[in-house]
Amino acid sequence: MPVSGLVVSLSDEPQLRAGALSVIGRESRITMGICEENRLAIVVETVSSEEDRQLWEWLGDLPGVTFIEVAFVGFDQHGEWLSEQAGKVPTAMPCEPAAVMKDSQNGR
Amino acid sequence: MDADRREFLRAAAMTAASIAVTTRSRTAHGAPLEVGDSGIQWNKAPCRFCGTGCHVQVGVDQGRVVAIAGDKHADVNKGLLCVKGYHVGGILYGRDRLTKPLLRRGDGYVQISWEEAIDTIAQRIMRAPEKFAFYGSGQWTITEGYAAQKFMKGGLGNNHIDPNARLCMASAVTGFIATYGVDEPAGCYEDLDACDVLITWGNNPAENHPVLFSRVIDRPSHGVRGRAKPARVIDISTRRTRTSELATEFVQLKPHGDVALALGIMHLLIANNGYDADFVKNYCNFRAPQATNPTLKGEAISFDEFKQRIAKYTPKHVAELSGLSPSKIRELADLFADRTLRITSLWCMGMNQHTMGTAVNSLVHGVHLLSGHFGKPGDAPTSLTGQPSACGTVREVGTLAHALPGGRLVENSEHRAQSENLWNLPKGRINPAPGYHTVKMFEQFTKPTEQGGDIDTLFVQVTNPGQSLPNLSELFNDKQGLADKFLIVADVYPTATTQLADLILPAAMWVEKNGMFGNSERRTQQWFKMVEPPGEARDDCWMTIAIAHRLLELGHQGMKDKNGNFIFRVEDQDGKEVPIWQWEHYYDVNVDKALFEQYRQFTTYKHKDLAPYEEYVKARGLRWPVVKQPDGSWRETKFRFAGFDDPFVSRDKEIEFYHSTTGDGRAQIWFHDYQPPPETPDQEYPLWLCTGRVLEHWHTGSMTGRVSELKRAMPTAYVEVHPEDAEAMNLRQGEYVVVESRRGSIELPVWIDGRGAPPRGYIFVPFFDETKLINLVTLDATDPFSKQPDYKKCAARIRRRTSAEGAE
Repeated sequence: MPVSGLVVSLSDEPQLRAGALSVIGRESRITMGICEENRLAIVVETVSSEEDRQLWEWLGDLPGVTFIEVAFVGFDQHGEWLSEQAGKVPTAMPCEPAAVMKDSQNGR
Repeated sequence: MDADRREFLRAAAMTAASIAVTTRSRTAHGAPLEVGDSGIQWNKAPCRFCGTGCHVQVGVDQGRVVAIAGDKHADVNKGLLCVKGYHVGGILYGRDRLTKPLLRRGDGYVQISWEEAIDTIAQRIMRAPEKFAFYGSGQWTITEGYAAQKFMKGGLGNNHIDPNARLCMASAVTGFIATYGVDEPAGCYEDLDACDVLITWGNNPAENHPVLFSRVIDRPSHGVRGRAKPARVIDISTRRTRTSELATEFVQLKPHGDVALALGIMHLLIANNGYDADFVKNYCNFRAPQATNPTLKGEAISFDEFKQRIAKYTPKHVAELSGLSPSKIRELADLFADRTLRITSLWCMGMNQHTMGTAVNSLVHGVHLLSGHFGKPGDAPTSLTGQPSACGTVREVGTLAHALPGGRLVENSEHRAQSENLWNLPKGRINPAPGYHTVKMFEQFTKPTEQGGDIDTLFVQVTNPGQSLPNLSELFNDKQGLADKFLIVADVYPTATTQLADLILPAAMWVEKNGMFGNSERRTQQWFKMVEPPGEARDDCWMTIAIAHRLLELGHQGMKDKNGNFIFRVEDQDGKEVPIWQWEHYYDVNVDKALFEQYRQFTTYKHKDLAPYEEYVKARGLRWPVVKQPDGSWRETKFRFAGFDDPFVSRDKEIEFYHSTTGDGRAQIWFHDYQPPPETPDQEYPLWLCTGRVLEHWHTGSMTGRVSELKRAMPTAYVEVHPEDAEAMNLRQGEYVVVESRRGSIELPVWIDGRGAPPRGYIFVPFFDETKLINLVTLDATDPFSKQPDYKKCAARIRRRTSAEGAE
């Protein structure tokens, strides 16, 4: 369950900036923090890394948002980092550990 | 995730983001990151990826990295990270980490003990030390590189040690040395804050150094003091990139057009009297390569001779060579002639991976020197590095086949004597002949012994040459079937290189070990081990020391110093030797500190002075030269050769190039004639092929490919094709095609109107994808001085797949 701390740079154009702030403020998965000199601190909380990515894309595409920077990212203790990639590691590798261990146990 | 932890992460995330906002706005600092009683331990480390050198805060709980935050105390990134940086913790936890030493038996591998692995390597070396080579990396920590360097040159008397940085920044080194007599940029990242104009020469920092680039393009939001207006960014490149999209202006040129453009600007500066005559008179000489056996010192030429030689590079001629319009060339020359502006040039692989790499590096330095755009904040020619310690480990420790630590050369008898003295070795231990540079090393390793291939054992640490070398079929894959050749690979994951390894060693990585890196702006950074490596994975530095000690046990005299002590002897506080070659005792002392303190004695020779280890523990890096002040504090240097900041410039001088190759305090402005690329498109292979990197992946993708978010964001390599070329070849979006050259071929999906926009007749392929090795196709032609290959241009073609190849 990713939790990210982001800095959103907003447009110099007042109307665009106000529009972006309004839309971001209505998004329940985003908590808004301080805003100084067109830079807004937010926290994004999602239930999966895929949802996290989609929310980022949505945010980046909003009119009035010019830039997104990352200040913090936290993950579940047991790690989304472990998920999804498992089983998708390069298949061309003859020394893929599972295969190696099997070979080893077979005395090769 | 329990509620307390989530609440903590939420609070920490908001704190970090708020600090980033307020810090960049130069108002109040926020609360410290350590909010709540979460049990998470935070510590600093530089990011594991590129040469920018962002600092991260690493959150560790119960022996695992659980959170990453930008480090607000770090000057480099001021609390911010790029998409790779904030996922850096994930690289530790791919499911296929290598955890046991593995020895090839037949078609597979068997687990062996570390003792057997170390003995196997030592026995191979002992049998023929001169046939052993060590291939390392700009990702080696400083002390790992230093240990490897001492082991090879001080222990074995063998100079066959070279790093992968030969493939990425060797031409920058030769450019700096030829111009200033000493390597590495004079300026620093603060030039990016201060410049009025930023010129990116064949450089795509928006993808490859994004935090640095954001420092320029988002400057008003960042509220950079005194320079709140945006910089004008001029992107000079052969293809439109994300940098071009964010730049003020995109200037598209032909391959090798950069050489012509630099010559053309210098010609116009002189012809229009726009050069800085005072700067040139006071601080510069003119130089050209010798007609035969050219060297980095070259031969002296007069200003008139320089003017005469460069006269042919008229706007019309340069336009023909570069593809730019004469008016654009004049406009750029006028820009440099304007001394009210501050101009920073930035480059990386585009100018380095180039068969005229040394020349074009020297020429761009020359443009700045001739126009006087040098030595003031914002006026700087600056190269970036792609790896986190290409500067610290490779360029400063000197882990290159011709170098010794601290800017010394193996060919120089004084330098050898100094190194032998500092290492307490008998006179004559260091071999005076340079070893094999990277391309030659792999040629000699993959060539059969009976045909003169005189490297039979190769140890690869912290790099993936099976994917990153050019012309892979010849330089790497030819190892297959050579029974007497033995490849040892220490790495963290299976890679294209481990596929051909005879012995695989599981390595610890990043915060699983102590370390030090040196970034692109001369900043030396330190971190401590925070978590245990998995299984039996161990530090690369330990591997080198353990091999050295096993050689000592086998009777190799080179592993002893003049007093008969082990060359890696480390003592405890009571002066008793600690058996650091035994893994269980390796962390009884801080080996990094012991090696660094020894290494830093080498650094004063070229005025690259480093502070004691403990100073780096306290800091988020310090930029050398770091000099002790009368009050006992240590002061870093931001702007070298500039009297207002560099402590080694003579008191009465504004500028002094105190390592001048001509011994007169002057830099060299070089003339190099334009030469065409080594291979150009023809009827058979009608397209230019360029390779490079993408935002989501770092180099060969062996780490970022294990982070699902990054892998998903950029799952596969592709070939960028211009829409009209695609139409002419009847190619569809996403269709797999064969990209081939005279050296090899691969299959790739087509991307039309993709992230980058190549011009007609030009294709681009990133090299991160280990299932689609573009380096089977690239050219291994090298720069004559730096020996760096050109990955940016060769002739290729695209054809549709045959039915046998899977065409629909």
